[in-house]
Amino acid sequence: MSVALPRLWLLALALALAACSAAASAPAPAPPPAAPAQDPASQPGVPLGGACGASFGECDAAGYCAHVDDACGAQVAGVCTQRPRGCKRDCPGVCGCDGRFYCNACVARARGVAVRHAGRCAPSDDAPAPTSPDSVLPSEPTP
Amino acid sequence: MNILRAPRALAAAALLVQAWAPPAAAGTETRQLPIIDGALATQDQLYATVALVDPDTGEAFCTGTLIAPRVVVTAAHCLVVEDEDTGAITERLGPEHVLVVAGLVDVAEATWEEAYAPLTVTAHPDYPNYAPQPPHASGAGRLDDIGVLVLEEAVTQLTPAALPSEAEAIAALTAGVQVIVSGYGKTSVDDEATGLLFVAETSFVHRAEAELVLGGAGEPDTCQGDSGGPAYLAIGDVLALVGTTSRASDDVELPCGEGGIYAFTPSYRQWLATASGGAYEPADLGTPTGPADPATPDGGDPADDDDAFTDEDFDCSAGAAGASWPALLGLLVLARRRRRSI
Repeated sequence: MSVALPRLWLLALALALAACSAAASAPAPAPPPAAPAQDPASQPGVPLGGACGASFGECDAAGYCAHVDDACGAQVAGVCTQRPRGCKRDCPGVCGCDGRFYCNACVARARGVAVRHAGRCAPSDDAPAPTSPDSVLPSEPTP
Repeated sequence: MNILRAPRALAAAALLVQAWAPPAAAGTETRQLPIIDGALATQDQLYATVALVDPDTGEAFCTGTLIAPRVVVTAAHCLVVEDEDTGAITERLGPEHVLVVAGLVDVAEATWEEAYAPLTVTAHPDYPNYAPQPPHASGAGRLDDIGVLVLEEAVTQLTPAALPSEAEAIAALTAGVQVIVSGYGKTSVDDEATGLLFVAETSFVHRAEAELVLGGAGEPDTCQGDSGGPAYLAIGDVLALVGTTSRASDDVELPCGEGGIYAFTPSYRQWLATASGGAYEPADLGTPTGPADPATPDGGDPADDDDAFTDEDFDCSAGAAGASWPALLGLLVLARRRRRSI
């Protein structure tokens, strides 16, 4: 993709030059149509620092919803917080707010999911309705 | 000091190194792999690798490496509980919280024979030491993410790994050299299961103070559950322990699959000796002239472990998750028994 873009630019430039004498030809050619999901942070969702939770919406692809209570934001708004990096590679296990198992809190948060409690999820830990179906890549914050 | 099944196993190791090119060998291609792009270990690839198992659940939460008959090195973060937000250590695991399982590719098959209880559990006192000097983009530096378990009894199934001096390891860690990483980590990024030993080769990238950066995008990598496990490097005739799995690099997005950071284990020989109360004694690899093995009281009986390493040894490759429950119950029973006996 990073190779294709400059070429499109060149093409657009060439076209613009060919049609040059027309004074106000587009100085900033429209972005090429083939610009697939490349800027995860600008995808829909609450930006970092914003309120999140059941009734506030999901964080964008840069964040996870840090809750102030243990109820995964059911009652109180959380804050969209930067997803961590450099996660440790242990696996004691935690239950995510999406009702799924993660090896540790860092891994869950790196995928945009807050932690409900330590240990495996119980049947009563069903996912709250609006939670996204966990994505490996941080580019899929299902709204 | 200790030579892994030398010289016979070395022949096997050398063979392995050559045969590594197609890592996802027979029987593994349909499974998601824990060590990303690795392969299920054969019995000959256990080397000195052990699993750290939670006695309450029977699940492998970390990996470790035997460096003396009663001494297992692992990651400090495997032995403490940290506050999710501040990172502060809130609890240090006691011996009753860990069982070591040795000699098995599949932890779920553990019986009393393969389960070892620790006498002492010690995380490095300076962990987490956040002062990388000089800083590296990966975040590697000196976290002191290292810990040690001294077991009640000597492990009989494995021969301890040699732990080279810093100088010996540094001399052998040339850019791009292949190291063998191994661990009982989970079976895919999305999977929940741990407890199967996988091995892979990945390349040495960089050493920053007391940590190594191994692997990168498109290369095999360790993953959750592999923490504390080994990075082995062939130095002369010896498969030596040079790294202890810690975490993902800071400069990549995914928790695993794009390279990781490992404690440079040779830097900790003195500490390991002290923290193990002398149960581990540092010894240089020395001249690679023979299988003299003074630091290993139990050199291991190679009779049952010849070079018959075959890719067909994948008897655990099917239905790991399902098969684990009966043996897991067994482990639980073990744990209960153990507790009573303590």
